[in-house]
Amino acid sequence: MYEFVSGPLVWISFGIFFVGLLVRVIAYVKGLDWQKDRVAYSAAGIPGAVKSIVYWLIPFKSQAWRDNPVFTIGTFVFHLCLLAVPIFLLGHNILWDESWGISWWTLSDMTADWLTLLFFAAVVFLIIRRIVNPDVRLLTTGYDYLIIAIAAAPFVTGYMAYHQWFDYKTILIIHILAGELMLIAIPFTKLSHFVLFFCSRAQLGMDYGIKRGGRYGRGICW
Amino acid sequence: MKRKSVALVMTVACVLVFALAYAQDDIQSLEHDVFADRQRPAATFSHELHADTAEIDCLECHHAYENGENVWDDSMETDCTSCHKLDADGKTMSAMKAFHTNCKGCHTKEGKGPVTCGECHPRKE
Amino acid sequence: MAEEAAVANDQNLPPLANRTPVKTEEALKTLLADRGGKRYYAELKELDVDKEALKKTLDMTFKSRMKTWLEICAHCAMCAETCLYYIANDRDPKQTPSYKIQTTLGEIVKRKGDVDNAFMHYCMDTAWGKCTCCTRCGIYCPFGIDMGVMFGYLRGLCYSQGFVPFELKIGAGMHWVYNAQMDVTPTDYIETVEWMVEEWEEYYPGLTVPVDKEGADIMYVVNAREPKHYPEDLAEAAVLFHLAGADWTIPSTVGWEGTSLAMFAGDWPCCTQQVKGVYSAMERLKVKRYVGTECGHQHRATITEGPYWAGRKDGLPPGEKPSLHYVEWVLEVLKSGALKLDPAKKIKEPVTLQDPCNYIRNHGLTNVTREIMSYIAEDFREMSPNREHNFCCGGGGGLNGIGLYRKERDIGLKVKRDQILATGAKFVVSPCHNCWDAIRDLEEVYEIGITWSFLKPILLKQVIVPDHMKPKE
Repeated sequence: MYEFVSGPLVWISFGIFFVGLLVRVIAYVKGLDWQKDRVAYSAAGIPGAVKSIVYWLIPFKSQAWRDNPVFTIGTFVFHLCLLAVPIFLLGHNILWDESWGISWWTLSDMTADWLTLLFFAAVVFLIIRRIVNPDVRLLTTGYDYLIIAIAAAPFVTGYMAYHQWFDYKTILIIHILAGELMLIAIPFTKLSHFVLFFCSRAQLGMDYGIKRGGRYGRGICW
Repeated sequence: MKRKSVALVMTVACVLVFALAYAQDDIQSLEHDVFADRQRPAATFSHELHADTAEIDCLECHHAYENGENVWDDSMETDCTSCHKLDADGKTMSAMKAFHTNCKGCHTKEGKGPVTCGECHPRKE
Repeated sequence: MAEEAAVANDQNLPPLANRTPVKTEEALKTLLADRGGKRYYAELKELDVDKEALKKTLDMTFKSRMKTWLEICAHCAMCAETCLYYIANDRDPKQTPSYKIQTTLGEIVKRKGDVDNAFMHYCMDTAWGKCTCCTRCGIYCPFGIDMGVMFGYLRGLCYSQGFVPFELKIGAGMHWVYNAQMDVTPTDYIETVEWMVEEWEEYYPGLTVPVDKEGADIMYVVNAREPKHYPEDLAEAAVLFHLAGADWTIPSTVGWEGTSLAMFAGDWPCCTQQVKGVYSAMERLKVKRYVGTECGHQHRATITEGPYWAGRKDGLPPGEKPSLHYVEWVLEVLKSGALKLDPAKKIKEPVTLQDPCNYIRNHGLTNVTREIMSYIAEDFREMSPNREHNFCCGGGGGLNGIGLYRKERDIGLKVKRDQILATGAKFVVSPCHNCWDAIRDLEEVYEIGITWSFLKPILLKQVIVPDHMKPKE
């Protein structure tokens, strides 16, 4: 079982992940229509697109991030941990060094452990916000919780595996499966914002950069 | 009831294993000084289990190459970390990589022995 | 009156609520005779949804941009606080833009157009009664989801199914029939302009309005309200062009009017016809550039969105020089000195400025109006928030004109009311017809003791008339 989930299934899930995301991006770009979107897409829009992305990748850079400081911290902690911990985890790096001969800078296990707890804190915050804030509650569906669960499952099981709670080998297999499930789910669910965030932001940035004032006015200040 | 008895059997087994291990004065773990700032507990390793019980050839692990041939014999250096340091040095692998490659490589190839992190680096005593 | 009674009671009359745009003068008159749309709205309750057509429209026009917007929305509700209706309605969660679009357009898409009359009524109530398409929420969404744009699209879907507020069905009809938002013909327009010149030339000798002057630098395009209800606005514009020595003209044909109630209604073919009218006049007169009056949505319909409806791939209107909103022309002549203001006549009392969404947030003319303020006011006070982050006046997106949603609009006006009150200023400069109306109405409803004005009357009060242009005693 371990051999299968840590072998072929890794290839399959990474394959679906990369191909799926590529397909999503291509489909997005192909579905753009200058006349229906009413944006004369051209290279002239690139500065607007870059600005639109950068302003939202940096905490407190955009007005909306500044207006919602608590949520901003919560969501940035959530996303940074979600990306940094698995990518820079020593154990993962050893595995792909052994399999593919690639590895990079790593976090110490102690740091990763704390970041995982920080991630759990962010998850709890996001869930509580969904329950407590009436606007978010009205919008929230079961699907939103499922998405959080898919993203959090590798961390919960990873934390258990690292601390060797319960039956180690079983937990480890579940952990690997959870990670693979997340990779596979990304192109097919809302998690596709992994790439579509950039597509959508770039599109609106171009819209403002080309049509809505970018050409004559001062352009949008996010 | 079933769980209780399983736990009992496991405890007895553990005690027996450890008692046996101590009695034999065998190497029990790869506790090397080069890993000053270790990220995980030292890997468990029973020399006896590998050399005597499994009858694995010494040269599977110990090595000293001359003209591409492993000429190691038991009069030569036995401590892995006298060559394999914390960081890789030229063609010499880092200690961690040497152990991982050697142990996991063999376990995988033979389909025997642990290959996951926690099985070699257990937290529980 | 007789006609009204006839429309209200005539059993043989085909239904007024239907999926067909009003394209004839006769149909327009019949619809207008249905006072307040009583019969229209009653019939709308019975109108079937052409599900197949709706699905077909979705298949053809609902593409990756909006698909992605609806799909990836994280339901974070950060857009809630950005919506004037959310704020004005005591933070009602149901006024969260994301909720409004997910429960309308989101549902139509999910059900592939399989929706009923009641649902289309809900969509209509939401697309017009709870959104002015100000696009403010879009600039606060981390994913860049522009719900204003989607509501515009939803309006188009509703319109195609006949579910559109009465006044906007008429409004689009006006554009179909008259190429203007009101029943004003080019002849009516030219006559009004000539009448105004006659009235004013006594005070400004040599005042003329060059009609159909080929190769002029500027073609001035107005809002039909001006000849219909505020003809002095035309005179003021003429005087300012005259004093600035502008080489300008107005067309005596289709294209003299640049607004687009069709855009508020979601009648895209009509938007195309309307904007093509303006462009054809520009091309016929070979003018160098367009200058539009102090109207926000006219600028949006003719300059920002218009080129796309007209199929211009570069996204630009015709003319060898960039088209201007009136405020841009004003700043140009103030900066060049062609129009000189008397600094002693600057407004002394505190004054604030309304940022019209359609050319501030959606056309970046943010600093233009502010520079103008530095010429005309001594104590200029910014509203908060301002510039791109301004709130809609509450009357945008056609809301000023829709009787059915008057109550909702009036509630929405509270946001602008409080913004104005917070500045301490009692005078509001409002270089946009819709904003101007909304601010007038908010004074009528809430009586906060303010006055408001377009730029033209202010400029006219402060302008220095060169001696040779003054009337001889």
